[in-house]
Amino acid sequence: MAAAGAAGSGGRTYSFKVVLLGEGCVGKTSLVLRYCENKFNDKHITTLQASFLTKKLNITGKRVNLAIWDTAGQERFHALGPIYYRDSNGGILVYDITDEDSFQKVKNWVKELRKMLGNEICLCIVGNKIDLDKDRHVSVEEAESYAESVGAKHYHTSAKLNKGIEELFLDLCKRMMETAQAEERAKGNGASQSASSRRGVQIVDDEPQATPAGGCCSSG
Amino acid sequence: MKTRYQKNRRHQRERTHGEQRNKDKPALMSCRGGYIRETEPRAGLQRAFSVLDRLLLTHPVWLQLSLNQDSALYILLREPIGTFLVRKCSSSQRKVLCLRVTADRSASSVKECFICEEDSNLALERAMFSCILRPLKCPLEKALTAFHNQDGSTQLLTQNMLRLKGNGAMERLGVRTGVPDIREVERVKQKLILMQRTHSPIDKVLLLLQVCKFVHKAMGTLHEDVSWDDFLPALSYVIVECNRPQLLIEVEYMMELLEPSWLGGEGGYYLTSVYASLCLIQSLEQDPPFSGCLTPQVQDALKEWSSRRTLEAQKQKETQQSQVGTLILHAINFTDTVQPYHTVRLVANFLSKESQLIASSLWLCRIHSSCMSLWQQNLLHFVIASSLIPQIEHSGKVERKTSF
Repeated sequence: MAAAGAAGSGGRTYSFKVVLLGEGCVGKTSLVLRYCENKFNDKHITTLQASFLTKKLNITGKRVNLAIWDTAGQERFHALGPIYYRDSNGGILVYDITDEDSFQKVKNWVKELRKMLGNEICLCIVGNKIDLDKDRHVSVEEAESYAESVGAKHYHTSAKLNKGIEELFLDLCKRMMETAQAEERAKGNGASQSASSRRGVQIVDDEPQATPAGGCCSSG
Repeated sequence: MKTRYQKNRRHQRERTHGEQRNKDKPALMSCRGGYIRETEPRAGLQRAFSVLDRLLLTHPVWLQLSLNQDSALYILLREPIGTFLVRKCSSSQRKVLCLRVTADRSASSVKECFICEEDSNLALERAMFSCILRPLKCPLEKALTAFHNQDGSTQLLTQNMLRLKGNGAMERLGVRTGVPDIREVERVKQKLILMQRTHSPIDKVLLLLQVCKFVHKAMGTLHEDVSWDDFLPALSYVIVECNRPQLLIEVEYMMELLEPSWLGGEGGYYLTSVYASLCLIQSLEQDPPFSGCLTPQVQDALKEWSSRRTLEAQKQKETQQSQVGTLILHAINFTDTVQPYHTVRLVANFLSKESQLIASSLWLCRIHSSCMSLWQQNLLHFVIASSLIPQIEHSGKVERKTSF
């Protein structure tokens, strides 16, 4: 929810929705799984949280809840994209550095996201699989200059080696927080700030799956 | 929560018979195994006393927010097993339930756990739903069904589900993973039938999550070739096999009536996936296939829905409007076929029949004036909670019992 993005202004809790886009085999799922659970190619799914993952962060004293929405990577499902990326605060567009075609797909997504969501959404273009640098087919210069030209940031990652992933998400969160703060300022300082923040926190904390110790009372 | 307790003090004075009953009770409320039991017979009383009532009536005794951990321990070690109190943790500002669990006199005989206040919101929300949505479910469903019959999507979905079912469905939907077998599909079908029966969007979405869990499980363990990209095809396959086009109505019901924070969470994600599946199924069998799963109409409808619900969430925050208020207004605005007066009448009818008169007049007051004070809203919350939560608890619909 775009609205939830800035929620809890007084309580300093941000809830952001981040959508994950990219072709089927670029490793976007591994990337986010590595980040959220620090696992790579784990064969054990215990919870349903497989294509939907959450992460709680604390950035300079402000609480951030990330909800990461994975999308179907097959080209034939491209048209379903808008259903998933609506109201996103951030977008992570992943390509495989050994696959030129997957980079082209990223360009298509960028165009579409900018058209549908405007400049509000913080975009990250991610070249994954840098452990396979010897087979690189997308040049660093090309990718970086492209990212700059569309107002996105470029990152290099390896889900396999757990490289560059923390930085990517931390950076993205900071950018989304700046955007949310700018939005708040633009809206003007609401008169009922203190009172509304109380409710805001309530609303944000309401997500049941975001509570890690959810069972503490049900058993007690 | 605090305001509800304050309100309750007033309420308590009004119900003196309740106080008298409580006079001969021990100083602290007792519960066993953390589960507060109903011990006295309900018969003979004009108004049955539920667990919640009892908690509300005795809260000055057990609600000791100013106590620290040591004092709580000190007090509880002098009380029998099962005695509890609630204090507030000064560092986290959360309420803590302290419960005497064993007879020994060590510190470990008192167990402490944080109270998830979110749970009370959930209970409240369910109560609200049963109050407002139960009478509205039928008209809303009828309106949605009529709408989709008119725009042709129901027919398209029904027709495509029938065509795809059976041989070739896996291939046509792009399934590359394991899928649930016939027996599991039957279980999914049962879940969908249950989903159609309940009026609560939260219960519906929880059932939906169970369905998605079946699909995930059947997809098999993850390896190089199988990724979660394959979830959507597998889900679509199951939906086709279940052959229940009514799912479209269910999905829209949830999309409209779930609280905005739910839409951004896991429930929202899987709801979105089911919606995407339904769009996919509708788009198949078209000529040419796969050319744009979303018709311009669907795209517009989505955009309209998304901006409307976002706006609503913002408004709710800005005006500090209670969820109850938003929900009523939302229900009123939801569809043209349900006229405001109709809603008012339904709600009033329902409440005067099943609940106290005071509640219905409050509801009407809420509907007629958009600027109800915070105090009134809290009172309203309390009236609903006290009149409905016990009923729900009694019928066993609330799974987790933390009615603080």
